[in-house]
Amino acid sequence: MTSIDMGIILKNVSFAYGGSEKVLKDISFSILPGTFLGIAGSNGSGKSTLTYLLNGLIPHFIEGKLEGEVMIDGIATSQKNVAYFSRKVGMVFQNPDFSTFNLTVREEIQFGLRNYHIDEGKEKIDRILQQVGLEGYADRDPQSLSFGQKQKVSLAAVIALDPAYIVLDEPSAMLDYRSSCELYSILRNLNKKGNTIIVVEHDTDFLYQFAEEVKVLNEGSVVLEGKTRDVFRKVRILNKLGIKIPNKRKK
Amino acid sequence: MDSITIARLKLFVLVMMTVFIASSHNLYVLSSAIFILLAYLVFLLSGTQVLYRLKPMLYVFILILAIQIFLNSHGSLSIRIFQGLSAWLKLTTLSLLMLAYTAVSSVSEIARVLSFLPRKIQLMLTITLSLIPVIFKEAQKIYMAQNSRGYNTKSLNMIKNTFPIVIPLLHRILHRSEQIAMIMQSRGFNDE
Repeated sequence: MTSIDMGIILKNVSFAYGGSEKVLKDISFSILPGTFLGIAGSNGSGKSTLTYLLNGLIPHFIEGKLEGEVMIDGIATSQKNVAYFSRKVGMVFQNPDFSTFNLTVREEIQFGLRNYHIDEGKEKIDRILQQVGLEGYADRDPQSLSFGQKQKVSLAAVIALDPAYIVLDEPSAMLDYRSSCELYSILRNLNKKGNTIIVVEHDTDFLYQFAEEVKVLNEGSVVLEGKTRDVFRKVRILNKLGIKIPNKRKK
Repeated sequence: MDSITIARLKLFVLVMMTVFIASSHNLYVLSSAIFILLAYLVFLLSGTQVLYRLKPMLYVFILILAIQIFLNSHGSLSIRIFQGLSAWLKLTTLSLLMLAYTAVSSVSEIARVLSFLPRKIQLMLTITLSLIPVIFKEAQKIYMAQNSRGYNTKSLNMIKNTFPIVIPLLHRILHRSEQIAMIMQSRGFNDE
């Protein structure tokens, strides 16, 4: 595999859920390894659908009409199953309340490790929990945790599999400001360690503060893309798209 | 004794008592078992909780009796009533036995003791067990939301009473199940 194959590449991708209109329209872009990419857009612009494309949930789990090709490190998502790509692309879903389904935090992390027959020893789990700031939570019931903590548990379950790419669908949507800041700090640390972070986010303040590059979606198409500062300078277009102009003082 | 041994012992006692009650036809034995369980549960929980559990059993009693009297044509009326009473006592004892077991065992304890089962079945049980309290919470939230919009449970129309709670609850449960299935797949679970 050449270095040019590495990363996530979308080639003329369109997608429509069974029988309805196209949610994504002819999208082409590439995400290089090590990037911190933010994806912004108003409701219904196709942001969440885009995340489902990045680890093979579309076309393997979610039915619909897919055109074009999504390549992850040189392999098309249509060629292998979700379990194959999940080792490369970890996914944190939007609603933390719906994301935990085991009886303890430890089991939540062990779930993925068992699926891949990876060492699930106590030390490893404790180390991962420490990484997300949840030391001592291993034996807690995930349902008893706050939204922010549940989101961290979901992230810990993903980190445990050590994927090169981590995709997060609106991670701050149900979190308070402090929890969101903590979560983004963890993401920044992971990015510094070499993980590629792809965040779908409506709160542009966080994107401005943490993302290197931003893509803006509107009605299923990428309408703006580039370095974060350059994208958020286009105030007139952002206003027209209904996207919040970030508070730049935080940078 | 470690916690897993205690959990196994509890399950063993539950299975043995279930077998004993299911195979017993003696009304005195069944009545004594109910009496002992009731006394234990009132001591362990509260009278209100036990009554709450017993209330549906009253409807079951009426149903069984009606079936025995009107639909069963074998034997005399007194024998049919005796059989009905025996069946009801068994069901009530088993219901109280389950209440006693769940009162002294946590969900994680129950799941852990079932670790000998194949992983898929164990997983199904764990997810179901972990979601039971969540579903109750969801139902409560929906009930409160509907109440704040003028939902009235005092109406005698059962369908009218149930629909505003059950339909959104089902919708949420299905949505949650779909999301859990997606998460399981994206954490490497392969059900093939």
